[in-house]
Amino acid sequence: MMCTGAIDPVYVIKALVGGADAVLIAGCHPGDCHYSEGNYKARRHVAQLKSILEETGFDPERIWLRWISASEGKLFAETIAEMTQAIRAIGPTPVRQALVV
Amino acid sequence: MSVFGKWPVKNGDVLEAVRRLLIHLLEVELVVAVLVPVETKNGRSVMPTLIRDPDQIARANPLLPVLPINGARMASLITRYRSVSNGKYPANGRIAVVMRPCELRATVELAKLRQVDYASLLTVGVDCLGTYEITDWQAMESESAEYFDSILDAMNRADPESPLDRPYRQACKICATPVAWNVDMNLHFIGVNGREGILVETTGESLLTSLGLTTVADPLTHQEAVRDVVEVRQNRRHSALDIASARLQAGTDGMPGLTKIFENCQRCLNCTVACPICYCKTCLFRTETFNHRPEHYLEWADRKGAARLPGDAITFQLTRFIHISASCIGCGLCTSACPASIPVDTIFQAVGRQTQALFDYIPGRDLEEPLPATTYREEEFANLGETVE
Repeated sequence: MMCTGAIDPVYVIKALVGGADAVLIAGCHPGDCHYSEGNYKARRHVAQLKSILEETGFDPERIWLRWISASEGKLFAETIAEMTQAIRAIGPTPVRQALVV
Repeated sequence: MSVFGKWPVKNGDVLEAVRRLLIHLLEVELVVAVLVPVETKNGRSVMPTLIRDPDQIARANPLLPVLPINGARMASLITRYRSVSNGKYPANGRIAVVMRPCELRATVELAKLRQVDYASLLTVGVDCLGTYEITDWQAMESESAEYFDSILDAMNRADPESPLDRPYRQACKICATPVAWNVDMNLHFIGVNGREGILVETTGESLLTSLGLTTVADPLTHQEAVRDVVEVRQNRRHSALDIASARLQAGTDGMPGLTKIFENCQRCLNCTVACPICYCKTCLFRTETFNHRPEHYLEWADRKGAARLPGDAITFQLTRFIHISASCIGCGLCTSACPASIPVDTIFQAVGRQTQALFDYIPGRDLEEPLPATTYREEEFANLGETVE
């Protein structure tokens, strides 16, 4: 995606109910947006998505938002390692087995 | 600043008085047309009707306790392209919309979504303690001669319960907004003996004057009656939504409650048709996006052993939560429309309660309050996205 602000939550939802154990949304740091406010809006959208997932019985900890700019390769690698470890600790998503998705 | 007046009722005929008031609005050219529920020929239901000819007001009945469709959608139909009016009608002429509080709240939300030209409307609210499922109402048809008295009496004594044999629609039972917010004119019946006169509230004195009315003192019995009924309904609403929230939580198998509640969802889209807020002309779920290639279904059945069809029901509902939950005004027409008898609106209102609290947003209250998805504050959710949340 060109900008986290352009992420339609349906992509994240589709991945989660399709059986993905977690979804990482990574984008430019607040204040660094090329479109000036895209990531601020994205943060709001993610806050809402996490709230809705929590309210409907999904684990909101399976959604990760991290500010990682295009030049921060090391941070990206570290985040992926951290995330893999954290999600492994939570275990596989039960939704994978659900017939009604 | 709102002011109150008393619209005269002759011989206890409240409907005649309401109709006379609407005719008056047309005759003094306060409005160029009136959008109001009009009784269908068999008198067993109403449909929103746009009226230019005062003679056609004769069958208007904004008090018949059914809501076949949320009128906000009609307000959108008749005003959304108002700026390209062909000049035949007065360009600045407003249309009076006579609606229940939930319809008017939906109208405010649609205006924020630029689907209603709010400046074209003269909003007229009618107090409402509840409506019936049309099937229930029609089953009670034999009582319809007396329904009107029962409904008026129930409003007069601010009864939170249905005065007739059948219950109100589920959404109405837990509705804590029996009086419309921030409208140009309100016709009050709660805590009022409507047969002696309709309590009219207007924003500003000029509208009251153009009705030929003088101001009366603040009607304390009405205000107290509304407070009482709102309190009862608010408690009931919180209990009902707490129960829904508990049902939504994951079961011992870790499966989200949502997947159980919407087990019977056939993704027919009836809820999106009935929902006044769900307006998108380019809805993703009306495209081929979720009609996958045939071999994919076999792959999914292979992976899990079976695949429930048509599938994507939970994706569909979660997406609707994203789009609608901030703006859900709780009219409950989604539940009425659901062929699988899923309590759609209770679930949406439970989720909506969380979303609305998250953004400190009350749908349908104030045209100036921006939709949560269209705005942000730099300092909010500061921990979200940082390495340590």
